[in-house]
Amino acid sequence: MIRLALAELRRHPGRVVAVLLAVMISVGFLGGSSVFLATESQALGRAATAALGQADVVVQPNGEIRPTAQVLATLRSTPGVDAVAPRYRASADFRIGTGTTAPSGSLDLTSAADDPRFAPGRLVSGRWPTGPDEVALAVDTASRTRLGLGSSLTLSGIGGGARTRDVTVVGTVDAGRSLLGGLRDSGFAAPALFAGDPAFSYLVAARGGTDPATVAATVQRTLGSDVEVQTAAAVRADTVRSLGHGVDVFRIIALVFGAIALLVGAMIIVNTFAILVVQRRRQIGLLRVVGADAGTVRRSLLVEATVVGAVGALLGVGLSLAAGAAATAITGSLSAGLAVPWPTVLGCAAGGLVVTVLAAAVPTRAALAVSPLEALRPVADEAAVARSGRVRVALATALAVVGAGLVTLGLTTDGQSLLLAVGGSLLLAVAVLLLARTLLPPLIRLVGQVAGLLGPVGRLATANALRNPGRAAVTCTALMLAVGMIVTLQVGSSSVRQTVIAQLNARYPVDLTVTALEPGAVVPDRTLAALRAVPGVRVAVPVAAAPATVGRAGAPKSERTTMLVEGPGADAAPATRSGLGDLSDSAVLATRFTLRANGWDVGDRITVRIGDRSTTLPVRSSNLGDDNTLVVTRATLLRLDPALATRSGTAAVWASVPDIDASPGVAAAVRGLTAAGTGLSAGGSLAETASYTTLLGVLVSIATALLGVAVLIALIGVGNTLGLSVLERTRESALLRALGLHRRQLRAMLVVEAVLLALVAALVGVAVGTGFGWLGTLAITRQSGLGSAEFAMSATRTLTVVAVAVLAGALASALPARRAARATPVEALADE
Amino acid sequence: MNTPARSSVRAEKLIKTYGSGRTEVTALRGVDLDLASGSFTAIVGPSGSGKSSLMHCLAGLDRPSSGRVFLGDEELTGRPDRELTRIRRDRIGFVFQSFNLLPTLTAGENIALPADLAGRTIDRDWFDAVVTSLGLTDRLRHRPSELSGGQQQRVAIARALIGRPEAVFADEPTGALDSRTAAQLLSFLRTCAQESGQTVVMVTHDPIAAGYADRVLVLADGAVVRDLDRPTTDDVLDALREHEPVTA
Repeated sequence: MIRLALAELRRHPGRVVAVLLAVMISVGFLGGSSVFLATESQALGRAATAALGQADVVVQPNGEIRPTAQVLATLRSTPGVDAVAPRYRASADFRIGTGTTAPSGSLDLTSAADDPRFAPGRLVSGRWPTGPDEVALAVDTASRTRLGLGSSLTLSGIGGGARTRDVTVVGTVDAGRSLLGGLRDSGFAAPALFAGDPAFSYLVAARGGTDPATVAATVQRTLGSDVEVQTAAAVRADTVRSLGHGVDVFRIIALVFGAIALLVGAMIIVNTFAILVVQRRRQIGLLRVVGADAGTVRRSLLVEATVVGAVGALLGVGLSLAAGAAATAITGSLSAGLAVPWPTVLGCAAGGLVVTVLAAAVPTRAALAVSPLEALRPVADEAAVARSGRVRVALATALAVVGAGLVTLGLTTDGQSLLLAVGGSLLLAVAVLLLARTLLPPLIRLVGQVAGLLGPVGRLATANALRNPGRAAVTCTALMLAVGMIVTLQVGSSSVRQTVIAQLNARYPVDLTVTALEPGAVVPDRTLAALRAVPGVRVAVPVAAAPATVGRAGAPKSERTTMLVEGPGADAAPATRSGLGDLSDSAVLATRFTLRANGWDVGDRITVRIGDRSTTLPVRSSNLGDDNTLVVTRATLLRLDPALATRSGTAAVWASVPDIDASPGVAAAVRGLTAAGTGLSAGGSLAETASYTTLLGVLVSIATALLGVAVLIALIGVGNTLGLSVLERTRESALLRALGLHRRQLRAMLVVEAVLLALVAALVGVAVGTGFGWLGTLAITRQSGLGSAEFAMSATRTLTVVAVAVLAGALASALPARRAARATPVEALADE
Repeated sequence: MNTPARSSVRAEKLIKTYGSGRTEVTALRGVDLDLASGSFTAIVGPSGSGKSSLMHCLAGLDRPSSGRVFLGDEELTGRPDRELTRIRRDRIGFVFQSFNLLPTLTAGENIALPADLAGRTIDRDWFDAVVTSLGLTDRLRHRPSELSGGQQQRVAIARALIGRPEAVFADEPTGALDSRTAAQLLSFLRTCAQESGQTVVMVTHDPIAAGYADRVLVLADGAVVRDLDRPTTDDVLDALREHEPVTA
């Protein structure tokens, strides 16, 4: 039977193109996301590795900071230690040139060392900085700021202090790149630049032949509990793991969308093979008559499915590699090399092949249940259709019940919420698809009432669409799935974003704060004006603020620290979501982070001193205020610093950015306004909101693009089905023409039928997609412990999807309609 | 041949109904027949007489509602589909009015199809003999779409005969052919029956075609009403007219 199967494939290759595409894309999506994630992880690993150079042991000061020289001496004398270098880290603002509009930003500085073993990256051009006036930039930072060897920048606020320094770029360094690590600019400087700062960590190279773990243990013993000693391998693993939590979210999302893609692929394969079986009904009947038993015919069809599936899966593997490479090229991780997890990718390919064969087996069984003679008759027995209906409905109901159960389980218990919810949703989706044949006809009839207004053409179109519920369901299903998927994606991503940002908003009552760092400094009027002018900033309110010395009442001087104290008045309300109610004249407000960082407990009495005025108040926890600021009522602040009332300008501005979609743009503008030299710093939820928006936006765009291809598959399926139904109705169409229907009316009839089906499919897809998108959000929220989920949906985007689906349905019918209308009445009636 | 001809195709009290309840239609109302091997029988009747149903039951393509069907000594009724399929493959040949051939295979491959399905190798001499006698030698590599109606029917007959079946069933084999080609085909069928000892059963509504047969059974309203021996075309026409449905 292989010859027969191949002969069929060779004769009508176009009929299996849809299946091929479906398999290719499903496998490509799953495989591609594996390749993408593997490459990203590898890049992350490389980045984490690069920073540590060839160090074997990392020593991290934990509690009391000891003088660097002392630590170095102790380390050098520890047995097993070959070389030691201190590593410094600091952030600094930088500015190129003068003027507030000059390019600038914030730079994460890491110290380079003389010893090449501890080089924090690979030198790409120039040399490592040796003096305090030299700096090397990460390759990406250099390209972003368009700086090169010999360029000069001004660094300020190094390590949070007041130092300013002009430096020259002497080299560029490849420190590894990845999607998550590449958002910040980084540079490298000689230890001299960090003069006076305590070392962030110490890198230790073990003597050749010694086990790093042993050396680490020895060092830990020697230095005691003030430090945390780990092997470099452990640090790398920890870094990758902690950064990888973000990758885990992507992995979950990729799994969810991959499963959906596979489901759509499977449905399209089932549909296509169902159509193929129907198209070849007479041939199959003939084979059965001539002596092929059911098993032989089934084998032949399955051989076809296997061949198509294998070709599709292979193409899918190719697509995986290409897509993964393309995606990582965009994020820049490709420079660390493409990591291809072959077992996973080949597993996806095998999965695609298995799904193809299984999907083809479903319609095959149905076809062979019919007796050979019936297969030779042109019209299927009506009774048979009804019988299969009952089984189908029963199966669908069972699946729905189990699916709903799993989903409920996933959403109410802790543990594998997402897995349960996704599994349950898949079952529910299959149930909906199985019920399509029962659900769609009433819906079509309903929408057909509108079509009926178009006159006899509309009424005929509706009647035609309803005549074969099975055919209508088949036509609608693929499109329904595609629309459903896109809407699920849209609703899911909007809702997840909304949920995440709701969390952020709860944590940060103020979207954006801009504060002047130096004592006595203010936010310039022009900055305030510029901030107000940024599109997306609804309101920017100056808030009275002043730096003060704060400390626990009665504690020694060493415990006192300088913090900004903000005193918002009632006019700050438009910029604050909540929290103003916490203000009280008899308390000082601090965030949980501030409390923890200073070792305060709620209720501790804190003394706030500005100049020679002070007040002591109990501290309370509140989300109002940035980290390391205190918030008091305006009255309290004015009592401490009466000059504030008359001084022009304020040290703090609170702003509200209500439109989430505007946040990336606002964040970029704010970065410019608070750059080096301005003496300003930005806080609030804006930065995180912006990065989530950007990240989710990129993800949604990529996924939408991939789903767009699934829509294309669905349309090929729709066109295929419509073409078939037109062919089978050739004689009917001819009869109508003979009775007096114009060519264009016949075409219109077919187009109306297609539009009717497409519209119903799209509407059901939207409804179902919204439901699943919401379920997905609930599950993701539960799995990642994000708190309570929020629903969000974009009306414009949804309507666009529906419009595109309907338009596409109409287009898909155009070609078959033309073919149908071209035949003359007599010709078509004479056709056997 | 002086010995009494063996019975090849036999039916006992065949009843076939379609549908149920109010839509029930009785196609065959207790048909008995006995066709000898080597005979060429035509089954004629007005439309709705049940002749297609009768042939389908005799050929093992459909199951009668009640009654028994025999091919040679073996009973066909009550057998599972698998065995019926095997019998169809090995011992029965079919020719239909149209759509006999798989469009994706060449004429040669179509002819060899039953043997392929059985996994048998074809006797090359016999293959060439059949092909030559049907005049298809230079058409073997062509697809059905490249053949004329007459050529397609000839290929179908070749396929039906290639396995040397006991019985050959033909359903309106000349319906789509012009009169000259039809005559050729019918002569060939008669030769098969006489020379190879096969039982050829043909269903037709064409009295001229029926005239080629040794025996003509006239069916009306699901029962055999006339049994004609070597009738002429006029005999057949008279018989049909007698049993035409009465028009008010």
